[in-house]
Amino acid sequence: MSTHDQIAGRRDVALVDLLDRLMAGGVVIGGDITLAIADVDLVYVGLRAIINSVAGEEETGVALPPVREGPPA
Amino acid sequence: MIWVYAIGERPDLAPPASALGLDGAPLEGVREGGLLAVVSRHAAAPGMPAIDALWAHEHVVESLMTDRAVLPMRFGSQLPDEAALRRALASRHDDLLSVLDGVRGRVELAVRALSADGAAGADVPVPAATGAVNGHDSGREYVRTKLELRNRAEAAGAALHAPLAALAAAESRRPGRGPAELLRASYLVERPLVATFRSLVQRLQREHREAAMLCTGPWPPYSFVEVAVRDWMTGVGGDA
Repeated sequence: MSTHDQIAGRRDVALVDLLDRLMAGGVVIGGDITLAIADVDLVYVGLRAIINSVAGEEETGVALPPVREGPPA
Repeated sequence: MIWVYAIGERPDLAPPASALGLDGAPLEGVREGGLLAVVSRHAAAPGMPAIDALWAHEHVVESLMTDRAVLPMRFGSQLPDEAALRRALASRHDDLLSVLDGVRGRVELAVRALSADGAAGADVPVPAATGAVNGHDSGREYVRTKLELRNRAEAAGAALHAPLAALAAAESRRPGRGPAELLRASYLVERPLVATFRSLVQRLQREHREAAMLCTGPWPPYSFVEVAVRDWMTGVGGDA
């Protein structure tokens, strides 16, 4: 995987967490959520594939540096 | 229309001049007592694409976190005008300050753990509904297998969650999106402990090869601002 792909992948993985927070967390004030729910659903569907491919990797996933054997530094 | 990004302390301190809001709109601070709401004004609801808008909202909140405690707003928080915003801030002024006290100096870290064995358990084959005795048995077997997998996933998630929660000032765990998602949680962590927290995630990853762990952040404390202001909307929604 190229560095470019890793950075893109990291952003996509972070996007799932971003959605979890911006759409379900935060202080709620006033009125309407303008982001159509359909859009959010599409994002989740698209990202499921990414999550699953990350989960299938041998190492810890793209959001953490690789685990080294031996005692922690 | 006024789009609200965050409510922060230190109302004397203007939002960073370099930060821009949705659609590149300039940021403004609306001051009410000890609070500063950071907003941008729009003729209509800001245009999408939605994902760019999400990141824009996030970047504004992050830029504010560099010099004050902030309560991030849920994406989409908007009010018709400044008067409505001031009323909203005034009506919950003290509660908001106390929630700010709870998040000051702390950040949110997100941890997800996915079953590493190729999402086993996500797809137990559904038995063919033959209606015969065999079909009944295989149905019972199917349910039992599903239950076992769920119990195993719950135990695995709990084993990862407990040590992380012990290091955090607060935690918020949400149900996984499927049997393969063992853990989906947020942890409110003192800033100086972020590196320690990440090391702990790495140690847990080494000890639990059945899981693929992902840790993102630090995030603004989105998951730790809800409780005290839950009834905000009932307090001000009527006349907004």
